[in-house]
Amino acid sequence: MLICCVLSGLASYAQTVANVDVSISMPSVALVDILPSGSNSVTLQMTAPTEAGNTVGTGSSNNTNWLIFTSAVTSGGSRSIKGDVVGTLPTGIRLRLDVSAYVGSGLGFTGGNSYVTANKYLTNTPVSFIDNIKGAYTGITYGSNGFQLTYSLEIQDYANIRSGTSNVTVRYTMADN
Amino acid sequence: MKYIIAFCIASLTALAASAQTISINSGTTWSIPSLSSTITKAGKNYEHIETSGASQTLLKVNALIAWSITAHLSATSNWDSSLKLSVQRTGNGTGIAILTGGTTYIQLTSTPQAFFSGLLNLTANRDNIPIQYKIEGLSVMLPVKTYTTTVTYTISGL
Repeated sequence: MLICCVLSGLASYAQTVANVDVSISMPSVALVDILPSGSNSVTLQMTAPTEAGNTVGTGSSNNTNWLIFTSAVTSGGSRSIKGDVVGTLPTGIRLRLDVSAYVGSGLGFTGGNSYVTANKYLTNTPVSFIDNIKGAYTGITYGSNGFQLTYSLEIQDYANIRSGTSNVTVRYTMADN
Repeated sequence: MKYIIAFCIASLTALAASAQTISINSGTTWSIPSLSSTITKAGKNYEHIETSGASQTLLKVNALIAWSITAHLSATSNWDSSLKLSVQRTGNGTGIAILTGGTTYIQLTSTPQAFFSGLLNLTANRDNIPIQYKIEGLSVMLPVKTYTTTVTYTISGL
């Protein structure tokens, strides 16, 4: 009987537990924006030659805009940022976009993630300029966080060049791959 | 005579040990189906901490003399270590036991840690001990999905 009591005591000495279930849902995020130095309008122009027989001068460029974004995706998912032109570019002229490599204190830009593609020209068809975007955020400080954008004009077909002014909009879209 | 004394000691031991339990009066779950704050500006990451109500969970302890409670994460296969889940005791509840510790957040891991302890329950319940939770480390770097884990409270002592 004594042994039974002792065993009973030891058995019931076992620890007891209580459980609480915790869950948190992390949502999808896709935000993209342009940080301008002032206005996000960009003015580019080709320089007219001053002497007969000379070529049209090199067009001006502008690098005052920075692209920033935040992305959260599912495991295995990725996105790209595509750019296209809304409106009609002057004939014979190409609008070139050079996207600099990422700089800043954000995360998600190493190991082949959020890399700048080889695409160089903006047209009416969206093309990817930054690809394989997974979880990432650029930071928001102008001039030190994000991708610096440089716009410039190039002659595509000299025979089609006409004088005049055109206004177009460059549109950036973050899309699922 | 010595058999009688031994019998009494064994019986008291059994009685004391069998009286030691922990249970949950309310708040067996803390669910965050949508975050309390969203990112509204491109380029930013989350900057907030998710915090439960101060009495998210109410614990009930039944013990005799001296006891202690540990807390740990017992299910982490669908959790991410960058999500830092912490708990704290925000009050004493009701009862006569003297409670010590647990009034500041401790970050939970899969290893049991001392949470708080009590003295002299004398078979009376220490009831409705309020527990609060918080989750830090929210980031867009975490894959989009629902993360789940289980907080396990374990009581030991007499």
